[in-house]
Amino acid sequence: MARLAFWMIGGLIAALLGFMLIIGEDYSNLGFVLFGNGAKNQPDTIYYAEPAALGPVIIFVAIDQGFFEKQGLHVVPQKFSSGRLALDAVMTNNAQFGSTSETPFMHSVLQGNDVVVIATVSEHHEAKAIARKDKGIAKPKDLKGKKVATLPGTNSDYFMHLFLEKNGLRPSDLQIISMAPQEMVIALVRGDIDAYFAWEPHIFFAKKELGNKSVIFDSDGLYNGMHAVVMQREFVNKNPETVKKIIKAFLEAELFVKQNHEKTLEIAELHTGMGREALDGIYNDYRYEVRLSQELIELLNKESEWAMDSGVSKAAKKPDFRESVYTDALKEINSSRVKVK
Amino acid sequence: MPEATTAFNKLSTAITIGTFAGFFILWELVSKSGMFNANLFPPPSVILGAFLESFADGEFKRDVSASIFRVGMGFMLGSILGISLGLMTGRVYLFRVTIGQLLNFLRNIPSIAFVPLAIVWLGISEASKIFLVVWGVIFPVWINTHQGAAQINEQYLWAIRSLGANRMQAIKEVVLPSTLPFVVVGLRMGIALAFITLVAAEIAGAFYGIGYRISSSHLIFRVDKMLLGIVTLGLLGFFADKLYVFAIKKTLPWIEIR
Repeated sequence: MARLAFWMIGGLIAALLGFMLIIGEDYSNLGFVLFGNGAKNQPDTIYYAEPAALGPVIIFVAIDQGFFEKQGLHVVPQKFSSGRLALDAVMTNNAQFGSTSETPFMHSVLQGNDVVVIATVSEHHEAKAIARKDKGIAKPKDLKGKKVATLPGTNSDYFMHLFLEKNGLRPSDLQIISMAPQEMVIALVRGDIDAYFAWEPHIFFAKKELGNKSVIFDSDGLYNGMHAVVMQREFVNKNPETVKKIIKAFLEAELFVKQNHEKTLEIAELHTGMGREALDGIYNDYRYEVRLSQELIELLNKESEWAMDSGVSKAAKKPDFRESVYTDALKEINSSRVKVK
Repeated sequence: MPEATTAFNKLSTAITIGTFAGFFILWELVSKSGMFNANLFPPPSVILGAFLESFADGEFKRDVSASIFRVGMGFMLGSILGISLGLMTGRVYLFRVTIGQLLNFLRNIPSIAFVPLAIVWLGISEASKIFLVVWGVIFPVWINTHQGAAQINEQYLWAIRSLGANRMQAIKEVVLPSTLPFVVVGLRMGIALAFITLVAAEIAGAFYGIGYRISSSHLIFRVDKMLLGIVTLGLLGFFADKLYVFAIKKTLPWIEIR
């Protein structure tokens, strides 16, 4: 019996050691909460939490064209299916910077996390609504009484709130259903729902399937989202030079994006896995520019009011979002890009 | 019940309660120690606050009843199918080499792989969620029943047939009693798997349910509500298992189950 126990414990320890050896330098990936800061802090190696989205095209270009290397940084992208998950990687020290739409960032700050935006790299109107004309929806007011899907707490959910308000509708006028965007496409095509609010490319895919049987309600003018580059405040305070190098690489990439449309689309295709047809269809929804604007602060303020009023967030008080923006680096490199009051 | 056994049972219960209490106290202390980010690793007291909030607005009741309905329906259907198929493949050669092999192939496919397809095939109704739970339950029940039915000593069957029993009587008097202990184990595994697959099932176009609440709370950084969902799932699974063991002890006292 004692011998059996000896071999069992020995085997367990050997298996554990073998597991750690196999995991190697990525051992810290297990570190949700357990392993703290500096999990991957080899000199000049920076991990970027990359969402599968078109918002961070400037960052994709900076990686692929070697603009980070020119600044003496080795940036390693780690792919995530959404900006929300990319933000998790930043908050758990598995990436030094990540990028996401402003809405997950707003929720994170509302919940008391100490993260900051060092720059926004695009402005977009990717949030849209699509509805089936053959279900009697031709104009916004026709949504009354219809089965409409949204994903609560996201930027498209916020757009829905603005859209309904603008068109004199209340959420209770609709049958609102919560659903993930990839499921909305199938549900709309199957006829399980009549309309949905989501972001690209999920609108594009449904439009492609339904063609003239569908109608799209655009968010342009009503809600323009921003793609923000997020870091932990502690990292920013300890590494201001690194932040400047990252922003310099962004600015060089921005110029590249403006001058090389075709090559930029190729890079975007490579990073997002979106087909060229989808990219061509939605690329114009994005305006790529590195900046920190007052519009970002106002947007975060409005969204946080909505999140608190609608019960999406239970935060007790609205934070001062001016404190959640790190302007020093961008201001020093190009002060005209910073318009935060 | 002898006095010594009663005292032992009381001691066992006290030790179990003490273990749980110790686990939650340790969690509370570690979470509040400052070693970890409390926003990402909230203590049980914060989770209790999330519970009170969810309970007050009716969200908790709605989520739990929806999940119990899905687990219950999925477990029932999965069990009926699993037992029936197990008896068929365990006792009939033709079924063993046809359906049995097909089930052996299918049982390696996890429920989560079917999440997108469940919506395409069954839409966003309850059917898609129940289908996924059934998928999780059916295979452990089937393979245990199959094993139980296949291991019956053929001499018992010859003996009962030589005494004049027909096929149905042989099944009733020999096959079912011999297979029963295996079925009991399979069903117990099925209960645990029903709760495991529930989370995958509720990712598929659910509007409420514990699994849905865990994923939607993630979107809005409510780690306390995510953990509330996780703890609730654990507790429901734990008590479902206890209830099952209690029911087996009462109805089938000759089967050893702990």
